[in-house]
Amino acid sequence: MKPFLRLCRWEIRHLLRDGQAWLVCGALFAAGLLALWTGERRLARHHAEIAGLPAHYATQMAGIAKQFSPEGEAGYVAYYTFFPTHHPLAPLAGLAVGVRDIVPNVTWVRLLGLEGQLYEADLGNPALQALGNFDLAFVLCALAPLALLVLAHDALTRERDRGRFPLLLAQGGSAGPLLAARVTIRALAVGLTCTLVFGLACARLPIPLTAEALGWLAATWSHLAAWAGFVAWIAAATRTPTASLAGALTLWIAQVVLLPALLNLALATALPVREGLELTVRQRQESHAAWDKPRAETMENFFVHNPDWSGTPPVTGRFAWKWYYAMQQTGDESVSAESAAYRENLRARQRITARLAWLGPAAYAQLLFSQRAGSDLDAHLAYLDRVRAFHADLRAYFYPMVFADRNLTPADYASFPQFRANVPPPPASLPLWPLLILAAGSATLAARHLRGPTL
Amino acid sequence: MNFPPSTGDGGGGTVATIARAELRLHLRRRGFWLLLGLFAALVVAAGSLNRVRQVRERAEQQTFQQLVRAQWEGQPDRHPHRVAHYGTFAFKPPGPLAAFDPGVESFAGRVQYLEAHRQNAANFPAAGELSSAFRLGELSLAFVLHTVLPLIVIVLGCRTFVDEIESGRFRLLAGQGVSACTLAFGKLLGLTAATAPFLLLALGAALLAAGTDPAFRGDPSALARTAVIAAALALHTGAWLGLTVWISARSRTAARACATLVSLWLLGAVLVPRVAAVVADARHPLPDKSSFTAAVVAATKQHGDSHDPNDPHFARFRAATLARYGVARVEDLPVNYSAIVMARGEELSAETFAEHFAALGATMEAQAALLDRAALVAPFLAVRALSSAAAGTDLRAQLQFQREAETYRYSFVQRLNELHRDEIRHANDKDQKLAAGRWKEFPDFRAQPLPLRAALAGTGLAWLALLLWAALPVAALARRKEWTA
Repeated sequence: MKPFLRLCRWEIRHLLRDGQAWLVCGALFAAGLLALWTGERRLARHHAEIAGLPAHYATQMAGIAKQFSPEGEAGYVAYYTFFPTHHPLAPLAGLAVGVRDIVPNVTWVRLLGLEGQLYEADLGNPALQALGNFDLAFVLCALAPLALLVLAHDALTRERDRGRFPLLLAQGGSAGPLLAARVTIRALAVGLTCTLVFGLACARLPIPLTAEALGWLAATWSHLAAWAGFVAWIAAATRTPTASLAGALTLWIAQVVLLPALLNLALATALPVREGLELTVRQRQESHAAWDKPRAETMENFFVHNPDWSGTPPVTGRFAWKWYYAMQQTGDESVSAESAAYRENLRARQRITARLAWLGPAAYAQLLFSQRAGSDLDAHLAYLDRVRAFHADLRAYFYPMVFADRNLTPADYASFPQFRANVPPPPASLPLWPLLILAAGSATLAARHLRGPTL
Repeated sequence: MNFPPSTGDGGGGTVATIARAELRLHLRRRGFWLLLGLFAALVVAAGSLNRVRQVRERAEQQTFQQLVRAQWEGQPDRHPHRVAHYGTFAFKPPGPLAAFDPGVESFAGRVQYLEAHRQNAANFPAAGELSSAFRLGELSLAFVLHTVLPLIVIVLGCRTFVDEIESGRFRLLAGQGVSACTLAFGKLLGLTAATAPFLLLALGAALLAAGTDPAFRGDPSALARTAVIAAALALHTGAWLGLTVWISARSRTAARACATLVSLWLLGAVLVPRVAAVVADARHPLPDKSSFTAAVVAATKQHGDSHDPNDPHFARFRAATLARYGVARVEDLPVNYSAIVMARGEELSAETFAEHFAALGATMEAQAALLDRAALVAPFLAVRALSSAAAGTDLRAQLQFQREAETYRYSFVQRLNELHRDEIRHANDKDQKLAAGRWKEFPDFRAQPLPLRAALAGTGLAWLALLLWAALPVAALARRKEWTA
């Protein structure tokens, strides 16, 4: 072990005097700072949006109070009252945007059928979204491996190129420890750069040192370990610096650019999800059809799933609020199978993604980061479930008044339910060991290359 | 292509000889055929998967559009205002060449609910239904041609000139009177010939995919669209060919030439686009949705509330209407007053929507225009913008769809208000209905792709960027006739 440590010490000294290494790590650091800046902006904008919600709600309620003063039917007031729900961005989500720039972080819902309100898209510019985000996850998944490859691909080929390699072997040195020391020290340099950026992020955003934050760091290092294995393998398997550079770049492009894009396309093609559109169309059809049916029929349908209200007096006349909301709810109930299938299909896509992503560390790390940041599709689906629960609260709150034909005065508005954003910690997180297996596997391949004739 | 005359006897004949030698060199390499094989596999995967997905999406869009039309026509006797609230849906059809270049389509909403009193956003963007693991680029034939092909050019060509210098052959050639310029253009021509199989393979796949697509064949501007895409592609690929030979001629070692070119590619295809997106977003921020909606609601309220009998605007409007018909009470009007009020309210709110959504669209277009300026640094952005514009899959096509859907919404809601005004009596208004057969009178929603000319308006900067990038390396190669080896 001692000679290895000596090698490492020598490599550190060598690296500290290497201008190219400073340049590469400096560029990586600069990219990290830019990512940090975009993350900070994203979080600031998000917090401003959330902070603005009470004011928007208050303006709306003032208008409603004016319209229904001194009092108005509970059903009528509820018809005009939109309630804000939101999915707060964890500080880590500033560093891994995931899908959170596409899916809405705020959804306004009212007592009407929920399925027609749940999937409102956010206002984003698709032309920018299509180019991808410059978040820290991108820097860590795409740029950090590139920096490592650039620094370490010629760990042995440079010696071969300059003719020093046979000399080294003749003096009783062996290529294995040299390669290990070189790659390890360079991986440490890149990893420390990434950790430094993350440390700055922790201080600026600020990110509390929770299990997620530590998990983020562990993912950063495991991901780099996988790439260190890859680069060791390339360095061992090639004979000239040009060849090792070509090998490194090919691997980077395959892993970072092509494989994710190919998997993405294959998944979208193989697992189509059309339930979202289906349930949207169907929900409207079902709830509006109730206008053309006897009121009692809709009420009977409603009572099947909501027997608590079956004792209420029958609806007479053309319109009653309790019938209106019963009709809205049966519209939701008519698509509950599609809605469940929609969510299940999206979750299945996420599961299959996690399984396929083992093929490549960059894709897998992207998943790890967005999961720890609560910015993946699963986190969004969990948020939609919380909106669902809140909407059930709305029904539980308003139905007693609607079914009793009660009137509300503006003073009653203060007791309306409000959405509480309690974000649960992410569920059982993806394991790190696939990355470590990739690291160990490629390191073994590198060792095997060195065991044969190495000249 | 015209090559500038060079010194001595090294004219066009020498250029052709060098080009032939260069091409032979590539064709003899095993690596070349391996690369071509891998590229072919990528083309087949990208082409076929996109084709399958796009055919399915088009079929799905048509099925849904027909379904909601059948639902519309199948409505029973209904009050016209009930129908206005029932509304309908507009489904966005894929652009004419979406299978080749999906552009922004995965990130844009696919369905818009059209109803009275509201302009809804387009919902269900496909990207919102995908995992976050893969936001590093969308694989398509356009992606292969715009992003991967330059890399192929770099891999094939980064050593083309510098090898001659490193091996000392260039001195030999110079002694025979071959100028650096002649050598460079010979290399450029040879490299172009060696790249041609890759380009033709991907283009052939694209034409095959498009040519067998009835939606594309039915498009009157199909040829023009293809020509625009091919022209942009030729310029972009030409730029990388010229750049590769130029860098190769200016570098001391092959490894350094390769590193420089790959760094340029990384900057142009990966970093600058993302940074430009960040800058565009910072320079022209979009409002958040809650504020946008609140602003629309506030502006609508300023116009007056048609549901409020004491609203001053509608009080004046009532007086004017009564005066026009020369009666004293709304009950005495020969037409249904509620419907007139409704139509007036719809007109005002539609103006408000148009204003706010136009401002939103203008901000998005300003962001996109900033990307076009960034294209001067990163030609990838230029070819991308031109290709998706011609494919009918860019931001503009999306905004056009939203405008069309809104125009359709406004026209059917106002037609319903007219029927309400003329055929529903004011007394006992809500208990009356129109016969079920009337719904067939309404035209169906048909999304028309943006005409090519309109799609390409304002793309001057993108063309300029491509022309500059294509011309500058060639000019640099031609300018210096005598290089020292």
